[in-house]
Amino acid sequence: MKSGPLGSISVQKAIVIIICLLPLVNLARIFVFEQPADPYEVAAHITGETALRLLIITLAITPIRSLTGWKRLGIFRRNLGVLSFCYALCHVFFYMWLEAGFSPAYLIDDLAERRYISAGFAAFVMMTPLAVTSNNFSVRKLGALWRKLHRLMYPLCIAACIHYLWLVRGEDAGPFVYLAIVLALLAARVIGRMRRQGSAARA
Amino acid sequence: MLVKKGDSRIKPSEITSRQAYCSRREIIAGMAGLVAAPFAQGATTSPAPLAGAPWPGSLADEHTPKRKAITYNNFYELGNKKEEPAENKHFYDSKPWKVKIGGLVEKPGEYDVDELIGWGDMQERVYRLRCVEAWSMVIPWFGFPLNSLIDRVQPSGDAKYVAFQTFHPLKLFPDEINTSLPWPYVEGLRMDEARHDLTLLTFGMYGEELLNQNGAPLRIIVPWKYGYKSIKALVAIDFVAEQPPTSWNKQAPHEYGFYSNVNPERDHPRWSQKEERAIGSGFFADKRTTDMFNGYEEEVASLYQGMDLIENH
Repeated sequence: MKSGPLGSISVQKAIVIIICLLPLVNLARIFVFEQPADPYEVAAHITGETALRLLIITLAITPIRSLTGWKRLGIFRRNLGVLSFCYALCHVFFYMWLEAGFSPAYLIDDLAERRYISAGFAAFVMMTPLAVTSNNFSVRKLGALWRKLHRLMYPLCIAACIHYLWLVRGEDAGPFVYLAIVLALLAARVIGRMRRQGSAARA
Repeated sequence: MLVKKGDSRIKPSEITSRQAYCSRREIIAGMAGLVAAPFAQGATTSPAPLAGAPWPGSLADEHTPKRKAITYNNFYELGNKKEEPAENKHFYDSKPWKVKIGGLVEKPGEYDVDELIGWGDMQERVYRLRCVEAWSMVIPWFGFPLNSLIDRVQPSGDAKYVAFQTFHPLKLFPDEINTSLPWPYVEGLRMDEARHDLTLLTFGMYGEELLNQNGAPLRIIVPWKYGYKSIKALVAIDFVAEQPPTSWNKQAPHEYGFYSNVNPERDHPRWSQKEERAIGSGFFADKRTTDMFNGYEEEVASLYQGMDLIENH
């Protein structure tokens, strides 16, 4: 295995994973030491926002890689995506536990009544097959289909941002910032693709 | 000393933020307390005690721990995150304080809160506070029916509504707060709602004067309506003929109506109103079932006889 300035790839990956788990440690710290008035709000907010941030970082890897030519960045992409999914899973778990009381009826009612729940649920449903297939075996097995499947990243990122946007009362700039970043990253991809096609056509 | 932000001799980065300044002041006050404990307690630390006769209608439920009730607040003037009002409580001084009473009344004027507090018999009333965000608290409030004040200032027969106003945060601390709502915050009640015995002009909670994050020095508590109707840090009360504008209704009319009665049948686009999380009940407690009019149906249902409460939400 190749060694970089920060050791082998597996060491680098371990470092990335540990950094990404810090918000979860922070959540545990808040639960134990601060005993928040509304544990659900804290749990849902930290897991949800971390999931969204990691999702956006995952989406940003390809444009950053092509912009900087830093090829090695790509090796973290699947780890980051799976970590984002882990936070989304925690997010859904806290919702099902503390908000829905594990009641399917509550979930169904909420999905029908509250559009931000529908948007979040849609994002989570799209995320699941991507997380499940984020391994070398699936990449080999699915071949070209894998790339197609993972284009779900684009709608799912937008759905996740809209989920957040519709949740807040409209007073918070945060969700708009996330949506703007996602749209910029998607635009970067479209522009990149058009350029590649243009140069391919000239060649 | 006055320091203007535009002063060219001082870079903006060198100006101590109000927050840093205030926390430093707290520390200094704390140190002073070590030396002169009885004198240093004043405004910066513990609020003055407030006593009131127990009210027979009080809830028997266990009170929400005081620590939760003073650190988990919706008071956007001091920041729009739950913990921010407590952190930013020093943004304004609740003493001295005057309330301007005007409109269609016999005795308009600017009244000092120290005078107002004597206009009724202080009671301790334990009410449930139900936020539209589907959480609730059980809080012992200290105050007296707003009706006592209304009787004192004698509104004319034309006065059909009462309009309330909070201080204008942009005038008090222009650089510090969010601009998420059109300021100042305004609320209103129909005259019969304002005169209802449950509507409390509130000066304290948990046996002490209100803290700023809870709306010191005086606020309204309307226990059968969502929390945002219970306006904080009152600076003006106006008696008017027409239904007055209310802040959240202006912000999102389809989400927040004028009446805002707690109604488990009328869901909010973001929160089911059928249930509520009881703040302070811990991780494993079930959610509470939300009661019509927040449990005060017997007392207030007659105010809305014949009205469609989904339409008039």
